[in-house]
Amino acid sequence: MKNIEIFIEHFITYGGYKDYFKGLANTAIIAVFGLLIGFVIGCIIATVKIIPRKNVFFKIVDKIFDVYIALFRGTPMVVQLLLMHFALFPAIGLNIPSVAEAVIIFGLNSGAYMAEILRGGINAVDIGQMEAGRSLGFGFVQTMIRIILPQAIKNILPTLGNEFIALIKETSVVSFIAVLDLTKSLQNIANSTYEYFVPYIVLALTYLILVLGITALIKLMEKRLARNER
Amino acid sequence: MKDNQNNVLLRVNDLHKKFGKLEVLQGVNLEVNKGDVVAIIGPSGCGKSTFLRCLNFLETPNSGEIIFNGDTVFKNMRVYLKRNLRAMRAQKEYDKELYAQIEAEYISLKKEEKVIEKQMNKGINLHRQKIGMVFQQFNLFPHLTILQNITLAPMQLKKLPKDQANEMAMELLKKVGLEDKANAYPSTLSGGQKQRIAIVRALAMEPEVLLFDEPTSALDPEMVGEVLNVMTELAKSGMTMIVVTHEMGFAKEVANRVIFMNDGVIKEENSPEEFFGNPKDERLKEFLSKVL
Ligand SMILES: Nc1ncnc2c1ncn2[C@@H]1O[C@H](COP(=O)(O)OP(=O)(O)O)[C@@H](O)[C@H]1O
Ligand SMILES: [Mg+2]
Repeated sequence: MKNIEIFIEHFITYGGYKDYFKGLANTAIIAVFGLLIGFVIGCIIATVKIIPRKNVFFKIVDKIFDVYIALFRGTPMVVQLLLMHFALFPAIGLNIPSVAEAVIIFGLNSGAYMAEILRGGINAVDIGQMEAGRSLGFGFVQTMIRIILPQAIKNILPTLGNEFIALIKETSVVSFIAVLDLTKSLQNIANSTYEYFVPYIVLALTYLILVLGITALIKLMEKRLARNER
Repeated sequence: MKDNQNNVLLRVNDLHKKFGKLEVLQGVNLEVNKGDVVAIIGPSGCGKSTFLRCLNFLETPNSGEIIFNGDTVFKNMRVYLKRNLRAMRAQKEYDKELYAQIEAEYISLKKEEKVIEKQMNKGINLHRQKIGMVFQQFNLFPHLTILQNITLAPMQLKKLPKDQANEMAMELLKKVGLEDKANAYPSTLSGGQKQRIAIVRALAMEPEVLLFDEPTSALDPEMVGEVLNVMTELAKSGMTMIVVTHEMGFAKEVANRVIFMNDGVIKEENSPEEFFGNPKDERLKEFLSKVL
């Protein structure tokens, strides 16, 4: 009981909740915007990858994308954070808030995974859909955006949901580059009270609630999409 | 380059198409007039689909010429000259004068054909708007309602306002007896209904010619009639149609020209009466005896 009292005192009376909600917001910002950036990158890469007859330009772009995917899937998230925050970003003179940095890095990381997921989703769409779109007079990109991608995204919605959940959990490493996120906010409370039990239980519960909430949301979306076509 | 007979909609000269080593089209020649209903029949794998798909560039032909509405939309004749030149060079002694003549022709053709190719690359989407295509597998867009399937292209590509597009779509739907399905999704429709919608979707772009690639082959027998009825009505309305089909009844009753394709070329072409009553090509006789 004493543990809880100490935590509540620190959380409410000493203003720990401010950091907690700020941390929660940062976690959400990094995950959501990281996902969005990753999604856009993934769509672009997947689209380039399925262009049937590529000219030289697209062949080179394709190779660059391959390298990008290999780099971001082949190294740990923390390493990417450290490398970019302490080495690459200073080297190119990029001076932006740490949260923005985290969004960019998570976006790039997620894009590498999303590209593969989306490509799978696109390949699962019947080739006849592209032909029908083109035969009506739509260009390749227009057909992708209006006809192929909506179906591909529906195919991969569960996988996208998993990617989002993985991303949320992975954001817990951003304290390495001095971002105040959910984990860091409760770590701070634990460190200053020398009382670890309650803060970390609260931390775990918060992530759990987030993840369960999102899981439920995705289920709902899937159901609505499925009903659309019955 | 311009076609003077303004009744000719489509002219195909010596069209060749290869997939790897397999030469599927080996010199197809065809002229289609406005209002023609051309039925193409022939054994499976003889290149009927490939030919149709070359007309709207879902496949790129290797050589030949396609003239649509007086405009040369595809031309590649120089491959032959190039081959001739190479063959001549391979001989120790050849007619230098003739070689120079062919070479000059080759160079001038190359220039002309590059220009056509460039124009085509730019205009390919516009070209396809004028050529509707109906597929064996319908290929309706499953994530859109029937109404959206029909109005998507006119709204996006022709910038038709939504209310006008909807109005036109409903009118077309009434013609094929499916106005009550406007807000349904394709997965709720039967095969015959899907194909009727696919025809409407193509018509909504007001194309100058409709290509049908075995439109009834994926249908249960009891649904073939409803689709053929729609096609018959279309033919009566003056629509130019090129129809790859196994429905000999349709070829006989509705088409005004019937074509037998085999081995990548057109073996026989005639009016339906002559075609079915008095076939000349041996393979055609054999084919007809099997399918009739
Ligand atoms: N994209 C392709 N790649 C390779 N071969 C193909 C392709 N499309 C068609 N073919 C081959 O070309 C031949 C003619 O095919 P197709 O035009 O579909 O015939 P049909 O429609 O008369 O049955 C077949 O042997 C087929 O296997
Ligand atoms: Mg075929």
